Amino acid sequence: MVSDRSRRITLNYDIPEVYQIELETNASGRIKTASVISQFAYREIGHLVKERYSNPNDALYVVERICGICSHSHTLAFCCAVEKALGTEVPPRAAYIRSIVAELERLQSHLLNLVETATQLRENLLEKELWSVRQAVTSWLLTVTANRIHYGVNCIGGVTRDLKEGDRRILQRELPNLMSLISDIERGFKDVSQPRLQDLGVWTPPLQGEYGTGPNQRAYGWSHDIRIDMPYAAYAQVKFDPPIGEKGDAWSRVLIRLRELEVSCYLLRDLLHHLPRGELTVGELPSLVDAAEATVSVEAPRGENRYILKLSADGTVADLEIHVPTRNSVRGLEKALQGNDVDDTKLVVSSFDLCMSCYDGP
Amino acid sequence: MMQKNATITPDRCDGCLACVRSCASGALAFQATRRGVEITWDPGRCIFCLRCQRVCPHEAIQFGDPLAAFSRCRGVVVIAQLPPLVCRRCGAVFGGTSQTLLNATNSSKETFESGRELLCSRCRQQETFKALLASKGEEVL
Amino acid sequence: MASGIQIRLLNLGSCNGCDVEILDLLHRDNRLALVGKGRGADVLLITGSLTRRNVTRLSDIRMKISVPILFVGACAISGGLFAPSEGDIERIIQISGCPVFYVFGCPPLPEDIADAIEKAMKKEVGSGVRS
Repeated sequence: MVSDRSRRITLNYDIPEVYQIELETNASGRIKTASVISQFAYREIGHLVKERYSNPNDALYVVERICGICSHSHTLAFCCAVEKALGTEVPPRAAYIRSIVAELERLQSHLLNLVETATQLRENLLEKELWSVRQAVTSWLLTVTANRIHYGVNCIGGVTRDLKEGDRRILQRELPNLMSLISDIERGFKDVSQPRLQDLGVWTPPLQGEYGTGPNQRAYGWSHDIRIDMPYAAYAQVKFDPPIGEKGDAWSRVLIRLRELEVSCYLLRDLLHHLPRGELTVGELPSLVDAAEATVSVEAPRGENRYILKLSADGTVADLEIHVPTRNSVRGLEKALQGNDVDDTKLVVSSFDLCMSCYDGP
Repeated sequence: MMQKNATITPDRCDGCLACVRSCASGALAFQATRRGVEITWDPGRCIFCLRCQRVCPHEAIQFGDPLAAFSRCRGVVVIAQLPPLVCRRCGAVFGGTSQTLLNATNSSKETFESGRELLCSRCRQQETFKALLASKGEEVL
Repeated sequence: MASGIQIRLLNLGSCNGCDVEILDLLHRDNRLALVGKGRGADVLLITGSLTRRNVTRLSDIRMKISVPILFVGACAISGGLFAPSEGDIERIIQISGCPVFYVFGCPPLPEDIADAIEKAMKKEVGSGVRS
């Protein structure tokens, strides 16, 4: 192998998601090129919805199961797209409940990703601490939605269940505990991993061009967040500044997610406090006179989830195009890995928070 | 929406099959035979969305009976067996119990204005339509 | 690790919901551990409706299974909402002699998965706090 200047390595991932990363490295182990091999979870969602679940009420269940980690963001985008196409808006209380569940989902999703980073750093204590915080968030989701994974909260025209007053008070009471746990975790990360993650896996996406939004982009100074730029659900009623990084390195990405945990807590505090009374659904949905279409984006935990929906005149789904944030994360990852040491690959990958079930599914 | 077994309370079910029609995953199905109507549930297909429980007009189908959430067998379970009723008008066989009559008179969805005859849903619709036209003084063909 | 249970997790195209619940179970009981390919698992957990790209992965393990198998979640059992899948998993693996368990749900609760593992291994499995 002395004359062979470069090597090809394939990294296999199979827990919990299945994909491969093919690396070409030079003789001293520096990565020259990287490419992600996926499609293991390809389930032809767009086709399935058109052919078998063309009633939007049925399609909702399929769309929910594209991903078990960010399923609320998918149903939210879908419902908003249908509602936009029909020309209707959900009542305020429903909009608030949608945002409350969205922020709870963001918390558990970021915590899941931070666990993976802690695992790659071989920080067992941090990993266990993170997981127990995530378990607390999951139990709140269970209280609010009666589900641990596919929450079933969104329906076309509103939400399927109410946030009971008692549960609202429980969340309000528990939020400060969560916020202090998050500060501890952030300190823990700073102490053990900042040196390790600093300047690693740098991604500097140019501002021009389609690179979507999300923590990975905000880690390099982008300030886009769909919740602010194109507010949906109750986000127009709350004020916040998304955390912005500078260097676009692995540490920035991890820090942005840690900060977003705090921001989500503040958002929850606001949303719970101002939760208006009122109806949960819009009641009678307007009927279509003609075919209609709508494009809606939501800020999923990983960034912009864009749904391009076409409805036929009879109200069934004629076409559904889904653009997930991991598409940009994969492009970013492949760029960011270049120049890094091959032994750091898994750490860099964890900092991008890929969701292959979203990426492959549609 | 915790995973529990689906059960149908026999004396509440009138065989309207709204549950089967609402099932997005195909877990609920029915078979109509001379013996009546069997409603089956496939726990391996069920996504436990509980839409069937929400659409049932008589609260007949419920998810609550805490039987095992795992099994050595992935087979389909019969959750309702409705003895056959024969339509007095067209002779069609449909499933229901004597509760069918009671439910129908109480429910706004079905009417027996033509005199409480045991009719299948299609004949019932036709009779209702006729009654409506007659009350407006229109000629019924 | 005399009383530990080594779990092989095979994701055949799931949305990760079931997989995340399995990970949660691992955090509740530290005698459970995930093992990779060819590392002597005590029990095999399958998630996901078989997708095209996973058929070869599945065929690769065909002849080597001699441990209990758990089909976790609607997708693994029947294809779920994505039925029909790319093939009958049981027929591809040609299961013979291994006990098979179906854990219903979308996804099942970690406690239900723990109960099934317990039954499969005939061992106590701590599932921590009941949700």
